[in-house]
Amino acid sequence: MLARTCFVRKAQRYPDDYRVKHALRAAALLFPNWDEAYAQSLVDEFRLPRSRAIKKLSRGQLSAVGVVIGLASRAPLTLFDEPYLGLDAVARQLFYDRLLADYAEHPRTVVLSTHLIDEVADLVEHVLVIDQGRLIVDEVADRLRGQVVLATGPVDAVRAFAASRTVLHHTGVGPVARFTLRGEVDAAARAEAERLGVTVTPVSLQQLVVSLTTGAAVPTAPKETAA
Amino acid sequence: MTSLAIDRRASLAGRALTVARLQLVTSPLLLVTPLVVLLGAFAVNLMVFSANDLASEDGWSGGVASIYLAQLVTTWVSVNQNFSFTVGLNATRRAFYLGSTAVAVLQSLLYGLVLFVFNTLEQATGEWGLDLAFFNPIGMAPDASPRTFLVFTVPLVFVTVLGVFLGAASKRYGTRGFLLLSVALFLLLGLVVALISYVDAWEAIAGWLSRQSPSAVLTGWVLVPTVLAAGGGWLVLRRAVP
Repeated sequence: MLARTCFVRKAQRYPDDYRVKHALRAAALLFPNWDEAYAQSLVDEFRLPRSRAIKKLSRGQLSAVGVVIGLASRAPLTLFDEPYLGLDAVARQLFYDRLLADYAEHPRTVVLSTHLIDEVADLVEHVLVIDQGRLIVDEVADRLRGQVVLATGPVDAVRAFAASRTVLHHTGVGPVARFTLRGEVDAAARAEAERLGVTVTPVSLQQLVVSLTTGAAVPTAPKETAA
Repeated sequence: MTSLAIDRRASLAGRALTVARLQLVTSPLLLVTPLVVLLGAFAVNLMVFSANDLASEDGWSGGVASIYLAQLVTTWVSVNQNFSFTVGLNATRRAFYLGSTAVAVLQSLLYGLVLFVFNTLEQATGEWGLDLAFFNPIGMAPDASPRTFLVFTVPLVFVTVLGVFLGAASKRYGTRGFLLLSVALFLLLGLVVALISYVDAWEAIAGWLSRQSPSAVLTGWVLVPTVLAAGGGWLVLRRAVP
């Protein structure tokens, strides 16, 4: 089982005398499905210096080495533990693009833990939210997205619309209220909202997670895991 | 035995072999570091002995100890460093332990052979023409017999297995824990010494030792701590966190 697993952790350690090319060579030995050509193309794309000692890499380059190993390992179960640390926006986008493209060609299970929820919102199929060690969401991503909406409009109208739903969060300025609501919004509900003069919009995955976790005693940065 | 168990065993051997091959990733030359240290010490000794007029005396040098120390330290460092990477990514602790120990023991067999060959050369050349008994400092390896090979090799295997144990222990307990562990061991050792003195048993121990031949100690009794270190190394490593 372990032989078919690849676990890239944020604090992945490498032997002190390793250079980038050594880490790749070692990974090639460790993973039966390793794709060397793909690994080399990723190294080029992330602009990793092959002959530089790993301990001299920047935080971002170090993360990139982990990303290259995780992707090129093609392990049936690949776990990325916050693989983006220190990566700039361009490199993160590159990672997400390559992950999606490679997943399409070589379907496998990828577990990605992250704090940057909106960045991966379009990638994930299944969402697990762990808040202070407790699993609070375990849901298919698409179903989760429809479950929480933002209702905006006159205070009384929004209150009336929210009556049959769970209010996760509410703010308001003067006569205008913004309620974050949990519960499916079907066609009938949309018609009701229109009649009341309430605007209903879906919230982003990140807002959803925030509103689900802020009820906790101490609000902490939520961690999202997706497979 | 079920076929699954056979599969598992074959795959464990395969995984251990992978771990072994990992040690050649940076440079195969690293495996001979202790030999380089030894040859360095030998070269220095040759120079000193040929420069000085020590040849008239019955010259010997403890320089051969350098390979034992170097092997201990390189194995220690190697296990400590490779564990996080290898086990962190996907190797089992079992495969890592077997693979690392196998490489280290093969290394010591190789070094034992090299020491044996140099010892034979030393005898054949009249101790390098300098009366320098570098490869036979305590007179325990007088001939080219299998016993001489064992006198060199068994203690090498011991320091190697001890190195694996120390590497595992420093990994598992961290720097502070490892220091505390060393202090505790020294205290325990001191306690044992005190106890022996208290019951006045030194004479008995000295008598027992004098009845053992030095080569019996080097090739036989050394196996006891070797087995202890090997078992202890595995027990410590199987709970270490990468």
